[in-house]
Amino acid sequence: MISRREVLSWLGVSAGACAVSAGSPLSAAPVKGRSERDPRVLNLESFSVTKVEHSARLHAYLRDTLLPRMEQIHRGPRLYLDAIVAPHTPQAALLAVFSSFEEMLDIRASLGSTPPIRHARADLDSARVLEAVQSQVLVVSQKSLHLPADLESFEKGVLEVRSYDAPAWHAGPPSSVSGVFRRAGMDPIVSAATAAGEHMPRFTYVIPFESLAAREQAWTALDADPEWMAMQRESANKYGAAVTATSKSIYKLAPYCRLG
Amino acid sequence: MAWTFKIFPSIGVARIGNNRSSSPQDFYVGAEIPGTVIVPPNGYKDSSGQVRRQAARFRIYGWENGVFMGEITSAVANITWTVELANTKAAFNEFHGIGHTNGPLRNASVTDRSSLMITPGPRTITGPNGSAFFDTGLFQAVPVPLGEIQTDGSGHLLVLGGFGASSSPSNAPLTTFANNDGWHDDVSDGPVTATVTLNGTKTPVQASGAWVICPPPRFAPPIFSIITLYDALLQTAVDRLGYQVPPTPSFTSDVYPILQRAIRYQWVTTKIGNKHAPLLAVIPPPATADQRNFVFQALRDPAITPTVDTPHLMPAIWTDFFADVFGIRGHGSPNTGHWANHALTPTQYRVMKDWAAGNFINDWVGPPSPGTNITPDGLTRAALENCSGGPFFPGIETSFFTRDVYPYVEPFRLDGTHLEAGDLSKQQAIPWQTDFFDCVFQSPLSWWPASHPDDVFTDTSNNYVTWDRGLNSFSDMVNFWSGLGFLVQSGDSVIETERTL
Repeated sequence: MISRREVLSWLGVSAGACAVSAGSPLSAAPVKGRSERDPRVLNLESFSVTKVEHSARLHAYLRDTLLPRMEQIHRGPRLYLDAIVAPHTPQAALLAVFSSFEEMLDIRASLGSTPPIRHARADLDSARVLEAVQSQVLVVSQKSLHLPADLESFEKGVLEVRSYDAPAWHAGPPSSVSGVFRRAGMDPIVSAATAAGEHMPRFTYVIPFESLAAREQAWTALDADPEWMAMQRESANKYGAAVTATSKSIYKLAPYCRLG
Repeated sequence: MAWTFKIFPSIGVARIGNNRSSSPQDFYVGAEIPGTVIVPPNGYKDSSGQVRRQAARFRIYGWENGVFMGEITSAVANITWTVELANTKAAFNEFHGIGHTNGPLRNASVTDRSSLMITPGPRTITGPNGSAFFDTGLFQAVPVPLGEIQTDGSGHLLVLGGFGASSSPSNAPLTTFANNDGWHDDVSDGPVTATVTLNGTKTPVQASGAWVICPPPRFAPPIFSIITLYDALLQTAVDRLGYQVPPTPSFTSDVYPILQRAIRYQWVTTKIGNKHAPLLAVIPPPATADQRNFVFQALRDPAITPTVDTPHLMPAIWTDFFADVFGIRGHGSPNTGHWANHALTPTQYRVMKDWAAGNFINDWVGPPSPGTNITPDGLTRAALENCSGGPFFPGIETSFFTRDVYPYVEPFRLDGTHLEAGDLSKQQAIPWQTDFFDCVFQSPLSWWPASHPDDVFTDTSNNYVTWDRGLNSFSDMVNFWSGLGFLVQSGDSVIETERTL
């Protein structure tokens, strides 16, 4: 059985960093209503592949081994993604939503001790299929989580995962951000704070677009939005740095993706 | 949102071969990750002994508002590639060495200079799985195909060079190592450009361009030149673009490769013997200050005037200024023991000087393994470290023009607006085989043994044999170059294979 400490280590976060404390992203969420008392935890795990030829093996692992087991033990929503533009391609990613850290850790521990998964991962390792596996733990209030009831609307479009380093948002993104995004034609399905890591505070958005062109149009509109520009100026003046997108990846849904 | 796109490698290398097939199973793609050695699974030659061509694969990477987005493939964009290859050697000046670039024209008696230039013009492919051939170039009215371009299923560009076919339509004799009037070969070079239209958008964006050179084969893939073209053009970036290298060298990344390349020259020249044992003694680091200084004191200072002798200093390879050494001392004087050798680049020399002084990062955990991750800068480094960075007399892949003269828009990326197809190879020997024949060990120094091995081991002999044994003339090299063996790593040794002479 994998210990809690090992799981935390596997996730790439320390127990201390995961603890909820005053000033942490978890407690930084607004404190009214059910969503604040019951934030959700997201795990975005990306799998980079060493060679194009190995992509099929990775997807076979996700589809035939990980997905069936996840469906047995995980009741939250899940998205299986395939990168079309990312700093490292080929890459696939799994975005899974958990009700709590405890649930996430328990499920990951369960996965880690499932023989077919262990064997499959060992096979991937011995064949040097994976270049890197990176795990981001995100925290999101329920009101910032808008996964649709079905995936039909996403199937033809793209999903962008974009992270901002935002020193000005130490208490969370201003409430006006969601309005600015909407004006630009964007409706993030996830607006989350990174739970641990460098360059905190860091916020990650998962945004669906009908097409790359729609995405282009939306970000262009955002860059020209007076309120967004004012936010950037204020951040630069107060903190010496604007709110900066530091990583962006564009995905499509993997063909075997089911919401769960 | 502002996108910028760049093509990588910024200088790619496609090597010629006399296997003329365009099928992917009949050629191989050159190294794309620094430190890797490509060994085609079906050999460097086909079953009939013909040398497979090495393709250069080009990729496009995108940045959005300065944020690196990654590789752009045909999954997300419509990509139009345009490549132009040319061979203009026969219309250029005779080669007489660095500092002597205003010599007489080659083929001076030919008034129609365009008839000497093999210029099939640009070729364009849009989208994946396309191909186009550079098959309309002429030399003195004789067709000389220079190769082709293809796109693969992801929309990457593949450039394949010529076929090693050198000839003289007028049956002129081969008389010199570099300037043979009436002759052509089919090496080439030229610009690689692309426009990218992201899916759903209408405006094509021009990618920052690259260049491809299509030189002769590299017969010793496991052996890297002591000064690679990457080292030479890194120095160009430092000198001309203000590029800054890390202030403190890493033993593993900076020092070890220089030591290792020198040690491994034992597989391509008999002259080293046990003289490089002091290099083995400083691995692993830190070694003693005396040991490090012993190695460093053996190196020529690049600040010394190139024509000045530095007897027995390293590396033991000839200088770019070979012609001037001859001019000063008279033809044949190298055989009297003069030692005007080529120095490491100033950056390499500084690395070794810092290391000798104990000013280095001891990050040694054993010999580094090549990575597995393809990166934009890694593509360029992998291509260039497989080429010779000197001596350029005139050199085998490209010339000192590329290092000293041609403009760059950023490190390792030539400014194509000031260059024409053929410029990177026009100074090279015509045909290449004559220089390749001549650039064997020339007492007391070697030329470029990582490109043209002097002496090698075979799988049946523990004694050195001359690598180009059996080829005794310029004509032999023109006719039988493809019979020469390729060197491969075999356990702890490097041995010759696939020799078909």
